[in-house]
Amino acid sequence: MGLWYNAKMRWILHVDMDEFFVAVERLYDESLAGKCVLIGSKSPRGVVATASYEARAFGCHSAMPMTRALRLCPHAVVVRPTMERYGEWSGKVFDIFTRFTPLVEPLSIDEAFLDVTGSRRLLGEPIEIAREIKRAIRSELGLVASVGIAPNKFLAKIASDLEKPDGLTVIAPDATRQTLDPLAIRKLWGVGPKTAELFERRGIRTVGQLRTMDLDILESFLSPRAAAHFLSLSRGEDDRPLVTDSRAKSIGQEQTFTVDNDDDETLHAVLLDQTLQVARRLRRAGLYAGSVSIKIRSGDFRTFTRSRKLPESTQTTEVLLQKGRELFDAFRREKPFPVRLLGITAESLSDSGGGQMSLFSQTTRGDEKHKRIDSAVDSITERYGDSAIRRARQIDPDEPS
Amino acid sequence: MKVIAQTSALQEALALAGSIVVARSPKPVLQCIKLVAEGDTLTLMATDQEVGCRYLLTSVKVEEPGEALIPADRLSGIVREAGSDEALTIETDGETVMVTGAGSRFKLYGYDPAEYPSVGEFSDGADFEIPSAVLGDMITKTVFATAKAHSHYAISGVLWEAEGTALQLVATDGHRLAQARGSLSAPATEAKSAIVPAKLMSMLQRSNRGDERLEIKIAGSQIFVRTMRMTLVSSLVQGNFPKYEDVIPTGSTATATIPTTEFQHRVRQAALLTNEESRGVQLSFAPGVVKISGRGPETGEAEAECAIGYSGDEMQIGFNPAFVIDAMKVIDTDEIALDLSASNKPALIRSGSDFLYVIMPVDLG
Repeated sequence: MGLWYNAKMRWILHVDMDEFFVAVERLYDESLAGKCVLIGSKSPRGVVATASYEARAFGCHSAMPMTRALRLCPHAVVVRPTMERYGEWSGKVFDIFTRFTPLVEPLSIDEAFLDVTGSRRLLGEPIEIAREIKRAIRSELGLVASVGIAPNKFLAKIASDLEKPDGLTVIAPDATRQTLDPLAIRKLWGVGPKTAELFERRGIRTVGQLRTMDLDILESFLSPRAAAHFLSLSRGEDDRPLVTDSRAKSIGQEQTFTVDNDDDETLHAVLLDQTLQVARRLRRAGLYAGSVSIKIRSGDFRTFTRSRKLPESTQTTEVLLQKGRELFDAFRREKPFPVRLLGITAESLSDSGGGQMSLFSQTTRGDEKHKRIDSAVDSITERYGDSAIRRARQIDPDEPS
Repeated sequence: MKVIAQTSALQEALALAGSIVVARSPKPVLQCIKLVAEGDTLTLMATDQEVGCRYLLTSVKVEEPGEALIPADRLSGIVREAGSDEALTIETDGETVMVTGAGSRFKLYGYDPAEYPSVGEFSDGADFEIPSAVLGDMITKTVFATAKAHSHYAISGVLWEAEGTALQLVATDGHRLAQARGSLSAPATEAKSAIVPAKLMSMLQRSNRGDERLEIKIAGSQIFVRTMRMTLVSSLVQGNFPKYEDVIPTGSTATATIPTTEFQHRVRQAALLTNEESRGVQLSFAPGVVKISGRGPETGEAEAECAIGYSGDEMQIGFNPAFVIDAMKVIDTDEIALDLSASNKPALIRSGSDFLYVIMPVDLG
């Protein structure tokens, strides 16, 4: 590695799957290859979860109302999201990550930070590790990822976005300034539409412009903490450690919609997707949740959380999902406003379910057949790894409609 | 409707019927109790649409038959604050209800009695009969083991199985299982099986006077329990109860004879320093003694021992102390027998000839 190596430096990878939902669906249906594909619900209020790059060329993008996306790209194939499928493939992707480092911070179903600082001696330089991860994802799973490499999380995430799709980008310390300076201010972590407007109103449009500002000028329109935060980000500084699940106090997943979402079908699908990830992360970290909470934000930024204790600690998808849905449905009945943000969190984590063994394996967990199949899939995955999952999928084929 | 009733009788009826009524409901009528005066009786009806109750008061004077629908908490308050030897006159004027005591008068805004959901009636003969004391004892010995929060699973209720002259109750939360047997006073006309919600079980417990004969009928998706003074009705829990017979150990490699009260006390001591995360206690069995130890990563360690009779090889096994204590609390024999086969296999506690308790161990790593 070059001159810019230094012993205290961290090496963080941000791995971001390219058009993940579309790519997974193409594994099941080859006819989708090369086509404009929109993953999402066709229902009147459905939104696009993922658009294939072909569809993005027509201006379609995720979180866009489906009706609008179809006006832009009428010949697009609409595929209903099969979240169980994405959860499974996400699990396979994360399995690959953990071969390279135990320090994995999941950001979403298809995105994670990996701290490979300690892996260098064993596995080579970060760029070699990144190439190897991309290769494994492509050859073993048939999926494509973009990877950003940098000394911290903020820069790594910026980097992975620079050459998408199929990107591999390093932001070395001496290249930080030239990489960041031209970027739009919105690219900074924590700058949403409202903060961006604050900056833009004062003529600050790029990260470079922000970097040269005096702190006290920034403090005239930002809180001292926010001002200092954005200023250090503009210099490419970010010392946040990775939050890996094994030392987490809670494991959660949330999603902000760019368009307020009022479609219960879509929201349920999002919740399912989030729960699958949370449960999988619990199992991966060997943790059990003692309670579940959901978080819902309205279009006018009122945030609500609802939580419930579980009768016994669990890492089973179905139990978490059921509680999450109960909380969600009860909340929707109480406050049926369009949703800006939805999230689910497993809390009161412990290392074990107390070690308590069960009298009836899984049979007490539920009555319905699909629940038993689901928990069987869970236990098979846990015990025998992913190769056994294929058979389970054949039991319950879930073809997109 | 106009009826005169003794406060003490009303208090008893309302204590039971009122406990069914839900405190908050989008439908105000569901927060009410329905009164029906006819002949020389007053019937109090309550339902939460799962469990229902008809409570019959005979020591009343019906001056004008009729019905009333009154908010349960208001009526309970009025009756509670009345002197116990006082007579209360309850009289309706449309949906308004006047309650008059000695030196107090209340005008209550009620609802149209016709809006109240129907409360099932016990018709025809009973499937079997059991003394309330016997059933009460069996309920005490099982209901604690039901799954508390899996409210719509089969194991949230207690399995009743009546056949011949015996009734058997089984409850489990998936980690432990309690089974109690009792004799019927009138044998079952045919074998009957049903999963009864814990709410009805605790209603039966609360209404138990210990000297009544309970008539039981299981019909369709409901169970009816009738005594001279009341009928309780409840929806049954739907679903399949797990195959409990399969998990009751039939063989063992070691058996301990343990003094019930001391064992409960010793397990409590050993559990004092455990916390939620390390909630297991370890039991080390050897001839003559069981050592019980527990620890918490931030609190420390505890050890207690209890003299026992023991036959078999030395064995260590971990249990959730609460599961052990729960059983010791309801067992009424001085000694229990504990059958063990391995540290990862269920243990069986036997007390007398009609109580079994299976505990799945905790893996203490």
